Amino acid sequence: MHSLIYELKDILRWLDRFVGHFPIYIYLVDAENTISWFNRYMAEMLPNIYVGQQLRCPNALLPCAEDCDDCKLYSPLDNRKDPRKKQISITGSNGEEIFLEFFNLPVFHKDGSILGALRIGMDVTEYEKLERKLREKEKLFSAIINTSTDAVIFLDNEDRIKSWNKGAEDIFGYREEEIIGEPLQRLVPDDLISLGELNYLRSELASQGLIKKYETQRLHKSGRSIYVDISATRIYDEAGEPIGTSESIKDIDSRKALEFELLRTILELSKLNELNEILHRTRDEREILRIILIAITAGEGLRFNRAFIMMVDEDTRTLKGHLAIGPSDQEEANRIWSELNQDYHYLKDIIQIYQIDLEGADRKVNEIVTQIEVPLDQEDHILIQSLNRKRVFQVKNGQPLGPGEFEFGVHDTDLFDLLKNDTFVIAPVYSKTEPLGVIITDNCINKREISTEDIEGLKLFASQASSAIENARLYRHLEHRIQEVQEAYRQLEENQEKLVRAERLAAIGEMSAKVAHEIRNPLVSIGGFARLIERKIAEDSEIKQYAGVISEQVANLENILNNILNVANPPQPERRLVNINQILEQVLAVMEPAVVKRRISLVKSLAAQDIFIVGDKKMLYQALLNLVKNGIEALDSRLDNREMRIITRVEGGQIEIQIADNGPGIETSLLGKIFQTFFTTKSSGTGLGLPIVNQIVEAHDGRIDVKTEANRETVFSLSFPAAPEEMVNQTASDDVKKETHPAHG
Amino acid sequence: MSKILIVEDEAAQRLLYETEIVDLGHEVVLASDGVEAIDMVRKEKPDLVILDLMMPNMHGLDSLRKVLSINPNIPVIIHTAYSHYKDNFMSWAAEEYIVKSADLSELKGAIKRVLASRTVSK
Repeated sequence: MHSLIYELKDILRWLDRFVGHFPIYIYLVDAENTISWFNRYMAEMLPNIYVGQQLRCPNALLPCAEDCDDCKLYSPLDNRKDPRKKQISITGSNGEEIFLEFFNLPVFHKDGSILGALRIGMDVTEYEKLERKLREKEKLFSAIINTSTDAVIFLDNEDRIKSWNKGAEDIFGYREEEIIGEPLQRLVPDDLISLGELNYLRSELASQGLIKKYETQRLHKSGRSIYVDISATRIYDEAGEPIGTSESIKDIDSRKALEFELLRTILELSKLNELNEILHRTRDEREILRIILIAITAGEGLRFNRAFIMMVDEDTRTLKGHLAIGPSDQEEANRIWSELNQDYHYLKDIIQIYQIDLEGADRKVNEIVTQIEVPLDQEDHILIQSLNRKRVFQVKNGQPLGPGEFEFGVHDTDLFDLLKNDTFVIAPVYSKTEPLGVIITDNCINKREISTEDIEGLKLFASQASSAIENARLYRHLEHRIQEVQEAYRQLEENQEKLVRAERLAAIGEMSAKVAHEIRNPLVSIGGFARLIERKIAEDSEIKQYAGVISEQVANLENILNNILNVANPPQPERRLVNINQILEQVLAVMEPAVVKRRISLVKSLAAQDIFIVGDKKMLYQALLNLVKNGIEALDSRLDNREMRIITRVEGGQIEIQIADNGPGIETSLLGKIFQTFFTTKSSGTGLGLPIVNQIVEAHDGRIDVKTEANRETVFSLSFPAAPEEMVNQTASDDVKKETHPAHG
Repeated sequence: MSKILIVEDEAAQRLLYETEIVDLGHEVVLASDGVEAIDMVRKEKPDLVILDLMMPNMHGLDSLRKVLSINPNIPVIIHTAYSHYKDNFMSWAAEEYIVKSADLSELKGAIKRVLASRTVSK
């Protein structure tokens, strides 16, 4: 009976000797789970085990408190089907946990009843530890993968989706069970598939082993395309054979949208900049309007089909159509833009080349625009509203978007009928201070939807137009003002010059007037008595000659005094008829002694008839005397052939007087100064002679010029307006004839 | 022959004018300032007064006013070194305004003119 057991025990003892200290646990239990034998290694590892020990179950080598119904390890001894691999853990003699894997070999009685079981256990602690680590890592990985916002997916060699995380679910909208096993193509837009993107990625992976941050588009479950960035790695098994690909996919849709927005803004800005550049080159308002209309309609601009501009007309108090651009039908539109787009890629080129053709392509729209006229006081009108409230209105299918009721009538028709369209945008053009006009623009040819971007663009362009027009107006205004200022400045300069001159003269005048008067009185006595002596003494007396010298010199001094006093206090000229020829004769008579003495040949060529001007006889006498004296003195430096010419003539209502000498002349650099007070080149001059001449000539509305050619001729030319005929005739009979000798200065 | 009063504060000039005018054949009476002049007009009843302006005691224009208040018909020739009193209204009451010069021909011409016009009007 039990001999089988004993036999088995003998074999086991033998085996145990053979197995020795290998970590193998061998023990026998009977049907009641009583240990009947165990090997040496087991005895070493579990010192508390003894033969005859009753176990709760064949596995329970250690005391076990667990309810056997719940025990995962429990299995009846007679289980023939699954003899192996019952893993248990025990605590060894050294206190460490030991994992054992048991084979259960039941031993049966002849009649089939169970006798017991042979149990052989292998120490698998090392494997178990490794496996645990592995399990922990796995948990960590899956935690990482599942909390990632990126999609992390695994594809097999056929690009079928094998794993799908939470991130993938969020990005693509598919739940795991919907997508596992599906081909990757499900996620790729058709156009990219047809472009061969997947093949490209596959070959890239095959050669590089990985792909980093590849930006592309993928499909959401809804069919919407999303921007993603993909990093992928080829996965290999231990043998180095590829088993698939892991892909990490990042949703960059919002970033991409920003990028596109940025790009669009940059493009818009550059467009705007280009427009701005062109606009500010012109100051012509109509030209500005033309540029804006082209910019609104050009392919490189806002691409509207047609644009109309109305401007405020202050005269009629209306908003009046000015200019328009746009083809009358699709065919014409195609022709124009394809022509332009072929050769010109920039807005500025198109603007330069495209002239609004009122007779041809743009005739129809301009016929329309000239019919648009709305009184400014028609405040409910949509155009006037846009103008006054600086608002953009979008009208769609005859209805303005947004709140408010508006009028659309124009004369006896309305905007829709005129434009032959009921969908358009109205944008205002205004300066800082006043409304300027409105722009209407539409897509009546190609019916393209007017987008928010279009409207924003239109606003920007309109505001560019506004500022350009304002600039142009300001510039015009400024130009006008500059002219005014320049004129004012010129006058100021002139006046200042006069003022400085006057001030200088006034100061000098006060001083010199005092001195002059003090001198004049004694001069009267000296000269007067000299003349008395001259007159009373016998003709052949030397004393008479001496007295003559005194009186001559005194006369000279008196002349100088008169000059000084005249500069200091220029008298208002009398306004009487003055016979110029007569005065000249008197001057020449006075100067005759000097002319004779200096051996000057005097050539007189006076006008045949008497010539009259209106003025002050004494002053004119003084002026002519100064000029003649000047000429005579200039001839002093000439040794022979001294010559003077005196000419008078009437020419075109002007009396002209020329006094010329062939003296050394005046240096060109000094010509501008000779009429300045106190400027003189003569050692003995007062510098008053010519300034007084100038002063007198000016006081008589005359002109004085000087032309000089060294040692040949210096000519002083004076011209005065001739006296009016009737004045000459009226007074010829009385006053003039009655005049006695003129006063001498 | 007319009686001419010369009003002149400077003795040398007084002598000069006296000599010249007497040589023209007129009777000359003299005054050396405005106060004297008024006295002489009253006493001598001259046909013509030659009046200097810048004189001590009384300015010539004041003297002119006084002289004319005594006899509004007496002709006066202002004879002065200054030209700017021409702008003074009072000076317009005089028949002539002569700026002094060593050359007396202008003064002489004025005397002739004034006396001639008086003779005509008389």
